[in-house]
Amino acid sequence: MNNKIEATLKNFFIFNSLLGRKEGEEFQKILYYHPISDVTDVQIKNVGLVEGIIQFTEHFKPSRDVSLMHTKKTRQLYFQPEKNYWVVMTIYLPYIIKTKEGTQTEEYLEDDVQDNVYETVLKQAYYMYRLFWGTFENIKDIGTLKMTLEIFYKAEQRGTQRYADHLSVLNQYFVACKHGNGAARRLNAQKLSFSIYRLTSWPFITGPSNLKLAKTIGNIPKVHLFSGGKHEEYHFVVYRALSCSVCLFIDGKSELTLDLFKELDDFISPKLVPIVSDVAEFCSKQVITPSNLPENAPRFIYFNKLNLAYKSTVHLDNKQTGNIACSKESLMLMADMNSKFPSLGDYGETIVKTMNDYWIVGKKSNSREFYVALQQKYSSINDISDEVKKVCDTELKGIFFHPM
Amino acid sequence: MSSNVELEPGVTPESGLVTTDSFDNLGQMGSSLEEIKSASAVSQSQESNESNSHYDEFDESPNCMETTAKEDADLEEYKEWANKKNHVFVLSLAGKPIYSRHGNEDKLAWLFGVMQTLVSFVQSNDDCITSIQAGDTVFIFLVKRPLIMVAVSKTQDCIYQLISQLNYVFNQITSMLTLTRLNRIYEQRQNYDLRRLLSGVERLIDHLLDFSEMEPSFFLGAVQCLSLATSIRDSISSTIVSACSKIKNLVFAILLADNKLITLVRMKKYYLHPADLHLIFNLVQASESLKNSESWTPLCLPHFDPSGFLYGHVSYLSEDCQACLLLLTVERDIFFTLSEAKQRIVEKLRRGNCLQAINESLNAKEDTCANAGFTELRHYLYKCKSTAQFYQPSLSPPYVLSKQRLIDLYKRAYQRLHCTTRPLKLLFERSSDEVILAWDTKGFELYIIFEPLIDTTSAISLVTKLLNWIKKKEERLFHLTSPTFLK
Repeated sequence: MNNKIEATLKNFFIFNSLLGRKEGEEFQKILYYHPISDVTDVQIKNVGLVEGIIQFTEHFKPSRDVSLMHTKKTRQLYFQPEKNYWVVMTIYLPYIIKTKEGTQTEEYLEDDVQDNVYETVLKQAYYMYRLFWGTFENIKDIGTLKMTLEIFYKAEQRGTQRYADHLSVLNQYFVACKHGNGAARRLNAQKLSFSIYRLTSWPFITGPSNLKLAKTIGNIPKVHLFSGGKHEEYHFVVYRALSCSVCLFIDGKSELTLDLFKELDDFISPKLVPIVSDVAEFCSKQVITPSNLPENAPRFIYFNKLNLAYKSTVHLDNKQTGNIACSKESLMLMADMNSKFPSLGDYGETIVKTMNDYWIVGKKSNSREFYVALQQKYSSINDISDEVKKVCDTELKGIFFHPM
Repeated sequence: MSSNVELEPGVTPESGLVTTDSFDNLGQMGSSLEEIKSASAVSQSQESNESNSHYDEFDESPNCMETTAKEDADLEEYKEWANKKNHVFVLSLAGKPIYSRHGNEDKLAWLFGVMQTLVSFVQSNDDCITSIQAGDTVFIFLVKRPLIMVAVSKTQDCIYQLISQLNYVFNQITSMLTLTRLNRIYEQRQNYDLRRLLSGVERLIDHLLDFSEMEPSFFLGAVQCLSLATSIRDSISSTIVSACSKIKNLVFAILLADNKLITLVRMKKYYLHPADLHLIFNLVQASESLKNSESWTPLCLPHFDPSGFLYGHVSYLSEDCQACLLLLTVERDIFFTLSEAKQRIVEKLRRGNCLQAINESLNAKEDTCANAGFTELRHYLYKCKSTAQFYQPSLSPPYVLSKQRLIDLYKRAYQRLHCTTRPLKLLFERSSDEVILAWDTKGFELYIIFEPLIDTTSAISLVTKLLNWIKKKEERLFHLTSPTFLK
């Protein structure tokens, strides 16, 4: 029997390389370190290694900061969000314990840990902090900085952060806004609504609990928003009606009163209802019903970056996570193709045959991308081309791919 | 495309080349030499690789870099150095510099120190550093006791190709010293400066690195043969066999020209690994001096036997025929016997018009795709898996002036077929510049570059036509027999 041990967090730390430069004072560099079970010496050594790696790599003038180290048993990720501040995370790779003739060997599963996934996790860890506390640089006093980090990441780890759940979504929302276009914003707002939906039955999720009875405005978090290099503080108020939620960011300098919330409620409530039904209708249109497609029918994803038009028979719901109608391998191959497309120029196509004799086709024409997973065994590329043509004709009428 | 391919040009029941994929586990190779030298066996029992795993913790913080504040005059040089596409470093486990592809090792001693620190630091956690990624630059670490190899690359090469490159460098060093000696040196003195023993090898490594970047043979794990009529190739092989019939313990006779194999004669039961043959090709290509005289050189072929030397009589056939003959034996003192044998071989080949045939083939060059009637093909590689041999046509536009681009296309396609997580059977990819088809079947691998506007139907019919064409010419293009010495 093979025993699989999942990936675990080895450590997570934040340091500033300009601090504690004198010998014997290295520990002053460390602003936050998890787990505390690592004694100071171990912490200093681990930070020292990272500093060594940073300096070593810089000598070769890389195009970007060092981001990753692979070892046989671990994966270490680096992120320098602000000058000289480094956020570092180390993951123990998952492994299988194999028992062969009485001796146990560990086989580390390097490919099970996808770098880009954990890179995102690491960056989120920083952005989440920044949302609540602002930049590291902003907090002038090191002691205070350490304290805020301690409070924030402790809570993060315990998973008891009050708003952690919907804030991770909110964070996505901000990212989308930053890349700014209306459609993306709307799409993400929808997601936001799903996640906050179940939290409470009061209209204000942050703010006074019950408008009629509340004596105080309650606990309202402040968040730090960044755009165009500027950084501002806002009260973060979330208002919910039916399946829709509205996030309000109120200037951090202004004072919030119970009357203000009552006014808001009176204003928003009647206007939100029709919007909610519109949104609900839009959502239901988005949900395609691939269940009426035969199981081994070709599955496709179409995406046009220019107008964000999107159609998929691969994803069974519009959360676009899990719940897919083709093999995971097919989806990963599509991702591989997507990552190779830039090297192909303005247009291109890729056809691959997997080890299981399935075929995946990817096409790119300017900003349009189209992927098809053919889940049947075909004998020749010509059959594949015909099949793909058929899918295009029925599903994507009038969209031109060059060459067909 | 039909997956049941009946055509497998170049297939032959027995090949002189080993065709396993295991490229780097020298430790597990049996000692072929011991078997051969049954009588005068020298006991080499000190192969144990134990201990050494604990090094003094590095107390110094890695700030030692600051001590090398560059002077202004050096700054330009440094910038140029830092921007090199591919660095390779070799150092001992103790951090002593052995080789640097660019720049002087002594000037870079601090950098070697840093690399050793990184390796030993991670090792102290009972772990092993393998790679670092920073934007466009990837750092590969390969700890092969008793050496540390590091590649720093801004090429698009994937990690596996860079590791393979480092393995080649390791094997090049091993081939000059033997693994046994290398281990023993460091067992006795951890701080040994290996460069003392490797004078001249640096040049071979430089050449090997350039060579491996431009030659498909390296990533394909195969060799190309010089096109020759079967009758000629057979007569060359039998000439070598008969001229050497009375010589004991001759293991391999290799005749090559222009980086292509003409023939390989081997001792029964023993085979040559393509990676070893690549080292031999590299040795011959990198050593101009071989052209002027007969030489006698000890040579360890790491895949054949990393523990000891073969001795090679190396010479070009004649002034008027630039093919190089290597006679490899386990006897260390039969130079004159082999020298005489070589004379007999040359005379007989001359009489049989074989020298002329070799020259004609060397001068004629291979067909380009267009010459062979394939106007929509630009270039291709065909590898017969069972013989570890491949064929490619001559370069034609638009790649004549940008061979590197062509090689990179092939390398990327090769990698996508063979990547460990999601290998593929077939890849057909169209870009604005070209179409590449890569196809891996049981018997062969085929990589074709087409004109960019070709449609799939014609591409497929061309593949079949091409396979037929190769099949028809297979006797010329491949070494289909595997001749052995009589004894």
